[in-house]
Amino acid sequence: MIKIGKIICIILSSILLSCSQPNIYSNLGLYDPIKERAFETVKLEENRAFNLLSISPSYSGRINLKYTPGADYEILKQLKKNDVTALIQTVSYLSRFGGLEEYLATPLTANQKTVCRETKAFATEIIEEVKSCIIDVIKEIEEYNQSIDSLVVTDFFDGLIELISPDKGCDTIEDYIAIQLTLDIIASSIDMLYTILIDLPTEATTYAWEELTEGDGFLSRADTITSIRENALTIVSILLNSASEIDLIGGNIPSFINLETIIGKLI
Amino acid sequence: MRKSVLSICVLLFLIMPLNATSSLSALSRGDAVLTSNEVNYAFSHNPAFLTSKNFSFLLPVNAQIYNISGLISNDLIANITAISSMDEESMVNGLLSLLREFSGTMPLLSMDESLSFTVKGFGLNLALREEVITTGGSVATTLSACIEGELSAGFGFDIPLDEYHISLGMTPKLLYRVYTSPVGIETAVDFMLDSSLSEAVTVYEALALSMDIGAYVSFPLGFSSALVLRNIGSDYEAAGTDGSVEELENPFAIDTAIGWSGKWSFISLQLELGLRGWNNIRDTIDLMRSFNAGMSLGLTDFVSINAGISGGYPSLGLELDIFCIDLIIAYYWQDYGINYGLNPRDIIALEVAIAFD
Repeated sequence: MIKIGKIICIILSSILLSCSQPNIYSNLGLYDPIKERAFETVKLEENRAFNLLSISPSYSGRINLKYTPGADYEILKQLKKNDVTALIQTVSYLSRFGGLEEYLATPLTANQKTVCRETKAFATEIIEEVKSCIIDVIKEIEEYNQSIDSLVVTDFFDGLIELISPDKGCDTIEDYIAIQLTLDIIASSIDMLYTILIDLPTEATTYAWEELTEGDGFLSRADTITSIRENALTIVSILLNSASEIDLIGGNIPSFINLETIIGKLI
Repeated sequence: MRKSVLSICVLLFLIMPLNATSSLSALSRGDAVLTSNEVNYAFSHNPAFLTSKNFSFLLPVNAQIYNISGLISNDLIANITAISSMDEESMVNGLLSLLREFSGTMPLLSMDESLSFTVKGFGLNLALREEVITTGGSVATTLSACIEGELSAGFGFDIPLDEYHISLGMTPKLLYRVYTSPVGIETAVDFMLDSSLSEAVTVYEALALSMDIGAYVSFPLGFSSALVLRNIGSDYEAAGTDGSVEELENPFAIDTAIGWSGKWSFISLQLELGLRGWNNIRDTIDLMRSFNAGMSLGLTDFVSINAGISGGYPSLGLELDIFCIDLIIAYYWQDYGINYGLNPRDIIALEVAIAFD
């Protein structure tokens, strides 16, 4: 019987030592947790308003922002919160158990490349406008001695534009991840605007994007400042939450920019 | 600060003897103990085991550290030193560095304590679990604290037949859960420094009733089988201090298992194959998650080696039974992925129990 015990112990130890990773089904080749990304897309039509709520799911039904794109775009649909976490966990899983470089280098199909390229162009356009809008807001905060530096925020958005620069190409899964994370940051940036806006109108409202960016619509200086002061912490935490996702993946993908320094300054 | 830490330690020390479920031994066996017929699992796994002893008293206390290999690879000692420095900036940086090894929502630390006794098929159990949960990740990671309490009273009876032996049991349970909304690291460190909860933190509280019903049948030649209906009762709601309400799941599940046990002199062996929550199986992945298998090899009356597979992940454990003191050390894996298999993490746990039966 002691022999049986020893044999069982040896078999168990051998099984454990021969495993490249803990999931027994993955070890036996029966299951692969890495799934192909869905590549769902959204069609934007020229001169038709695009509801930014489809990018930013918060405050649904309370405030709508309509954005009019300058050209026909078919862009990547922004991932839901759980999908972004799954993407982070995918990168983390591959960096722990091997296969990250091969995964990131997986080529996109011709159609996916086109959609990624258009998403980059669209994202760059939106980032520039959100940046200008938020910088105006930050300058108001600066006047009230709040500890946010508009130069740091400028660097932050410039970093995003750099992340999806056309020079970096649209060829692989790595480029796809960069775009998806940037879309997530854009959504967070829009959430920041909603946070500022939410207390201003008393009823559910739809606004054109220009009303924000031109700054002479419903956003009176006094109202905006009051709202910013009341929601300053939320505004920063929204930005941090989203930025941390890029930072987290950035830790696993050396070629990604690391935003920790910028965020450190923001705090 | 030292006073508040001391107060928490004293409080925990006082709570431990008053409360707690011996689940660690089961976890080290792939959670496959439905046919073990051990009274220790009467309240946690199969109420039919209430009849397995005329009398029992059990007081286990265990602590679990999650993602242990990730924590060690990220300079665990330096991070703990930073967190215990009582300097706010060092504590925040230490915690952030430590939590960088996590991704997704999962526990960071947990403790279980329980007190149970059974007499001739009747039993009473008080259990308490404290947990620190993280969303993991990076700069904006959060922490939340959760305390769960469970008060169970149970009754079981035997139906002896010629070649078979049937046991049935039920344990109605009163569940209590209190937890905080997720908070940023700075808020968590502020709490560690002055024990005052920020106004921005919402505390949720929930109370619910539930019940488990179990059956155990032993066959000739050491074979056995079990059927357990878990969490009979509905989902419940947690009310927050800010007036918000959250839905908490209490998923009904049907667990089944078949087992075999044998004993030769001072060597004993228990084997079990099980399917948990088979009423919820919809596809192959659900089946992978549900299947579990385990063994316990008793090398003497004092030492057992446990091993198993639960949801596709391995577990190992060593159990020492010295007079009325049981000591269990377990190492096992669990998955915290958004998709199955995406975020496997290892856990190390230690349990000390006072047991009379």
